[in-house]
Amino acid sequence: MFHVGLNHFLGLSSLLFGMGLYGIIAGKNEISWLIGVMLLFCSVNISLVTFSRFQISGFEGQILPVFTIIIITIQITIAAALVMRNFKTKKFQKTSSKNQK
Amino acid sequence: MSFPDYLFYIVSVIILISASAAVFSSKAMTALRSAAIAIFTITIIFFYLGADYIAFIHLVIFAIGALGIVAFTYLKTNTLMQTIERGGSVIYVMIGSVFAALLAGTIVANKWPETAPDKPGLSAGEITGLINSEYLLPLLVIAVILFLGILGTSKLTRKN
Repeated sequence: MFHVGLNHFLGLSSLLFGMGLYGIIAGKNEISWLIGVMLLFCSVNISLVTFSRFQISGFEGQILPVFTIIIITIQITIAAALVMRNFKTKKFQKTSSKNQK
Repeated sequence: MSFPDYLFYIVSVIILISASAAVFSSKAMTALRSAAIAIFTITIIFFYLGADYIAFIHLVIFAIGALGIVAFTYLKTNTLMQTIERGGSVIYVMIGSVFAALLAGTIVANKWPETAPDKPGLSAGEITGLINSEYLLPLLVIAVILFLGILGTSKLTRKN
């Protein structure tokens, strides 16, 4: 029972998936949402590599994470840029409303 | 239980504690610090599974690159960042738990192999060889997406 098998890795992956999902839907700021997305994709990558290691999915399980990691990084970069743009707009609105007063 | 089994349990506990701290924390800096620990520790899981190449990519691109971008975003915007107060947090916990339970149920319901074969994972040379031959089209598509992402990001963050 305590010997580490495929179930243990998939269990860890599913728990991480649940936490990532919670981070996305209940995140209290933009950073929490981004972290939630990262945790979600980490859990998916763990599952893929596990299936590949236990020879259920073939070697595709070790190649697909390379692509997913790159795609997630692009997504995170664009999301970060959007967050920064949003805050710049807020800052501009604040300073312009101060100047009007 | 052997030493690798103990190592797996210790690493898993660290990952779950730091991931839950990252998700449940209301302070962005604490969340970021905990997420960094979780994501760096996930690299050990990849090493444990014999996927050294994935572990290296995860460490360089994901743990250092993506997390660095998130940290930079926080440092640039922390003066204006507001914590959104949301009600019904229990419902969100329940939604996350339901998804985790569904996945765990699927795992338990299936009959998986008990032990992994002795054959190690693909080496870096084999993976790059496969990517450059069989998976060349996905690589090109990702290159185009990456280029568009760079263009979009530079357009979003320019001064005017």
